[in-house]
Order: sequence, then C-alpha cells, then structure tokens
Amino acid sequence: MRGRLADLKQLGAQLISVDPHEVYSAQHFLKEVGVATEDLHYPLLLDPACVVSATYGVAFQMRIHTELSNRPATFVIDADGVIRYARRGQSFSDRPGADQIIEELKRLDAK
Amino acid sequence: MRPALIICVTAVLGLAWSAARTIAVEPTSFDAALRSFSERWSQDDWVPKTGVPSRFMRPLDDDGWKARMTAFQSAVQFGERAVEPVRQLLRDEDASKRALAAQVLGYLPARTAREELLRTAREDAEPAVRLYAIDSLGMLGTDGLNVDWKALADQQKNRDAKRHVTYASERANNLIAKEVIDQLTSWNASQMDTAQVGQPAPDFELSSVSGEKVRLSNFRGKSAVVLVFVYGDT
Repeated sequence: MRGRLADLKQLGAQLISVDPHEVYSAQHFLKEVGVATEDLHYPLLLDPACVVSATYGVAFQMRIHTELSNRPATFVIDADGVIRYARRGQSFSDRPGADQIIEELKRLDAK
Repeated sequence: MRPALIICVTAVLGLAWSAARTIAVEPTSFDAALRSFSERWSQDDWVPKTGVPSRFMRPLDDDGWKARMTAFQSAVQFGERAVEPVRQLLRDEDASKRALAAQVLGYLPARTAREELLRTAREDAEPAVRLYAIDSLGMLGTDGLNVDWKALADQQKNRDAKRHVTYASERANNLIAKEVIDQLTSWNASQMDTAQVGQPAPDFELSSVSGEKVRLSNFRGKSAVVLVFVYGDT
C-alpha cells in the first residue's frame, strides 16, 4: 500500500495504519527495517492499550513474532465517516491488494 | 431508643453495607472477567472448525479475544489491588493465563511484582510468557533491580524474546506512558467489536510513532480513509 500513496492521494484518500506496540518498540522496529519515521508519509498510529483494535474487532487474534497481536485488517471509510468496506484477514498475509483498495475507493467516488 | 441513636446506628449500618458492597462487588468483576477468559479462551480455538485452518489465527467467529480484552481492561482498572492476584497468576499451570498476567503487569503499578517477572522472564517454559514478562520489566523500569541483561538475552532461545530483551534494556527507565493506561481504563467496553460496514466508523484518537495526535473524525467531510491494522510490519 505504501508504494501506492500517490494513487491514494489522487483519489483524495488518507492512509492510516494502527500498530499495537508502544512507541518505544515501534521506533526500534522502524530502525531495524531501515525506515525513517519522516519517510513513512502517513501516520503510523500506536495502540498499545489495544482499545482501537478491540473496537474494530481485531485485537488478540493472531500469534506472530511470539506475540498475541491483532489480526491484519483493512477498513475503507468514506468522507462521511461511514465504513464502506471491511476485511478481517484469516492469515498473516490475507490482506486486500492495493489494486483492490483503489477499486473500493473509486466505487465510493462513483456514488 | 432516642432518635439520635437510631440515626447513628442507621448511619453505621449504612456505612458497613456500602463498605461490604464495595469489597464484594469490585473483586467479583475482576474475578468474573478472569473466569470468563478461562472459559472462553481455549487453546483449541486456534484450530477453527471451519474456514482456513491455522495454528496462528483465531477463527473469525471466535469471541475468546473479547474475554481477554475484558480481563485485560478490568485488571488495569482494578489498579494496585490487582497486582498481587495477577502476580500469583504468573505461576498458573495454564500458559495463556500466565501470558495474560505477564502482559497485564506492565500496565499496573507493579513494582512489587518485578522480581517475579524477572524469574518468569528467565524460567517460564512458554516463549510468549517470557516475552511479555520481559516487556513488562521494560515498562515498569528496572531501577533497583539487579538485572543482568546479557545473561537474560543469552537465556532466550526464542529469537523474538531475545529481541525484546534488547528493547527492554535499552529503554532504561523510559516507563510506559500514563496516556496508554488512561486509554485502557477509560475505554468504553460497549465499543467492543462495533465496526460494521454501513455504519459510522467508531471514532478514536491515537498518537503516531512521531508523536503527532491523530483523530479519525478529523477527516470527516475532507477525505476517505483507508484504515489498516498492522503488527510491526508497517
């Protein structure tokens, strides 16, 4: 999705990601993978209290990196604040592709 | 009896009644949350009856995670009084309860549980329990505690647990933010699992990795939002 930020921008959409870690380990992780926070170009939000992932029905559902984490999930919310698309993944990599998200966004525009 | 005496006796009884209620009601809510967690969070649930089988993913229709969230929140809301019962859970025979306890202690005023967390980080048979004990030590700070980080890292055969030793040792006394604990204690649990297609997106405000506060509803009327839940893979 990160590689398609320009397409999202063109469609007037904002990418937001939510990660269940504290700022401390999130910064560590970014350093490990060699990404500077200013190069993210979208907000990586931190939810170590797991309240947003519980609200969105994804908390504590996947074992990964020996942790109990949220399952991967993607929601498309229209400009009126209504959820128009939701996908809760059934495996690590079960996510909609960027093309599919862009299709969903175009469908919002068509209405 | 004189009226003053009657009033006095009534007042004392009233106080005793409300004290008894406080004692009786509050521990029950935490105990009940823990019991519900034990009942609804089965290890077997990792293998679903239908759908994509995975040892790593709970089925989509599972609700054990809600019981875990409730137990997590009620323990933290219980605050100081939860420390001792949660500390004792670190010795429970059920690894999922030990993992919950090890995780929860990091969000509690649990300095008195640090020795037991350190023992858990060294000795527990379950890597996830050790990893959470290590995290919680980092969240609580290790001042005054004699931690040999290198030995602790060497003891971890699990790669992730070893990595978390690095996190915990490098953060020194950069403790868990009060903001995080407040988010958890003030969260309205009736919001659980309320995000549905066709419905308004539940609002939230979180801090970003670069410290900026972002509120979802601020995008309303301006742009669509693609909200992606990740797990350290960005």
